[in-house]
Amino acid sequence: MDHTTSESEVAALVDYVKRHPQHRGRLVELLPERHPLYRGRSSNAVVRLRGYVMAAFEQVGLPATVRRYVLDELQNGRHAYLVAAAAMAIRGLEEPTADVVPFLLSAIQNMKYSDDKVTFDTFPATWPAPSTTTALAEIIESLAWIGDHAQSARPALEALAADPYALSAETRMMLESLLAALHEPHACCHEPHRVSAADIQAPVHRVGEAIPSGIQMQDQDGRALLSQEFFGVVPTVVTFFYTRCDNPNKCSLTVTKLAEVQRRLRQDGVSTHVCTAAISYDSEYDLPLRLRAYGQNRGVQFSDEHRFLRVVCGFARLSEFFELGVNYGPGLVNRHRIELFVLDHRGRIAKAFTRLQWDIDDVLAHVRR
Amino acid sequence: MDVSEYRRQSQAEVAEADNRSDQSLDDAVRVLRDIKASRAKREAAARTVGLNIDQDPSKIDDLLDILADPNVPANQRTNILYLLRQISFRSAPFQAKRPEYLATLRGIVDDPDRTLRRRAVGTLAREKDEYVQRRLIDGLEGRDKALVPASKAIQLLGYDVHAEILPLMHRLVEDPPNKVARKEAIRLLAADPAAVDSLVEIVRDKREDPDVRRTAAIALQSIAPDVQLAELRRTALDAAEPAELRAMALTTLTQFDDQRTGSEMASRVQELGDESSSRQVKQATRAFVSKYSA
Repeated sequence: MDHTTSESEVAALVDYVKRHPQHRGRLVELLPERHPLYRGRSSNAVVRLRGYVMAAFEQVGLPATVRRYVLDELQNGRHAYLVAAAAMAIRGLEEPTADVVPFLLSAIQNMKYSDDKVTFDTFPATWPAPSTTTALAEIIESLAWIGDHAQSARPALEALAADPYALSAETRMMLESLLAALHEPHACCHEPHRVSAADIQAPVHRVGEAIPSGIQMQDQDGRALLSQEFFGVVPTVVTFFYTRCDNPNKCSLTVTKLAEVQRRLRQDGVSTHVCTAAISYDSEYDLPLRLRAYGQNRGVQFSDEHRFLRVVCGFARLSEFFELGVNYGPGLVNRHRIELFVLDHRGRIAKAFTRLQWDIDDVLAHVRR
Repeated sequence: MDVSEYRRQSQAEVAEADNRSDQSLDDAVRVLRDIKASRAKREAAARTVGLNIDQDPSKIDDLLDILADPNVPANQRTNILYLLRQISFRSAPFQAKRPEYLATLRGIVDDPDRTLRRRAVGTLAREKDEYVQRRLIDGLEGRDKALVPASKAIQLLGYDVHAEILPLMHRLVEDPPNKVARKEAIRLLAADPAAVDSLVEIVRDKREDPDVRRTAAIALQSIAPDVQLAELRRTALDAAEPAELRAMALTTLTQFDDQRTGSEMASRVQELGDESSSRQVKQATRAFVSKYSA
């Protein structure tokens, strides 16, 4: 499957796998953002395809390798169709588990004022739709499926129930039933293990290799530089973003957190011994003025060691090196994951934090190492 | 009845209806559903509902029912849509109804009434709704009937840069259904760094309508500000260019050009301004020279 495959062919494959779950591996293959299926498609098309694929895991079972995609969507997704699909996929787990509960609660926070009706009965959706659901309804249904393993969610769910404006009448009834069924957490109940970006490091195939040299870049002040002039001198924290990203949980938050990393480095007196860089996925549009404004508006302080970069020539090599989880539509990024890398003083990847929100302390700990 | 008499009568009816402060939310919703109720009564009822909906948010469901009901006259349903849009801004309980509201709007995008359909489509487009974007694109591509005129569809798709309509916009610039649609398509190319050459070509083409050339020049600002400034300098110094374009170029350069380049151009700009008979050009020249000759 690639960019020439029609959406209806993909939907037919999903429907086939639903009837023949032993072939679910064919759906798993479609989840990485880099998959050629998504190249050249609009963001909406990517949402439609990924949502329809992801929802199918409720029926065909959710393999361990797919969990990280589902958790990512629950933690960071803002599109009701995809979040509903991810919540449905949770019910494809072999058995209920408490460690997905924090992600379902994040999804409630993300969706509670931007929920929408969605339908998975037809592909693509047509309206009026015969049967519909919502992201919040699917999240609550998944918490109900998790049952007593979701006891730790009770305080958050009670707070949600106390919010008179967050839920439709139907979803409120579902929540009340869930709360009635959930037992009070026992003193012996522990908070579930918090899965973090550090726990699900994607396989890094470029271990031992330094970042490619000769990549032409330009920084937020319009200064030209080559990759080897900035990377591989001292340890460097590198993240990726683009200024037209419309998901506040992704690029905007990443850059805001990067500003905090910089602040902590200054506080520790090591801001000239560690570099930070944010590289745009959207180099042609993200001109120096945009890079500077985007960083400054989020608290970034620029210097020779701390820069925002656009790649003038050689982005494909850079993308290959970092195995970036990004794809492009006809004019701009159509989908990307969160990704941050710690490079050592030789420009080699020492640690990758991908997909889930990275923790500032975790990143700083790896930098210190 | 003449217009002033009608207005007087209408205002009196509205005042009388407003004076009925005992009108309950239930009564007001009943009036909104009543196809025989006078316009004044409906207006008063709409105000009552708008002001008091938070007392009983379940009444939003009634409004959505009326909006979706094809048996209610289209103008009444359109007014209900306006009312719901107001409520969506100012009523906190509306959040819980948002999914139903959007689904109801999607259900009426094919309504035979042009005004109602356009308002529903416009509301969804501002929400960056996937379904309505898909329908608008299908209409522009000729795969489905058009929900709104082509120029309107392009404007509405422009609310969302991620609607990814750039290849379609390039095609519409080359082969437009009409002039207005072409201009709207050029405007949206401001999101496409790959459109620089096409936009420059339009800016330079003296056979093009000056308004279209101006739109292309403005679009360049977003994706290639240096190229835009170069084109504007060329336009400003070309006495054969239409006066409105030269004036626009000078005004933009007055705001955005660098001091050195502006100073280098100032004397030539002054000469051309003196020769021009256009008031717009003379005015823009004064501002330019005043800034860069200082």
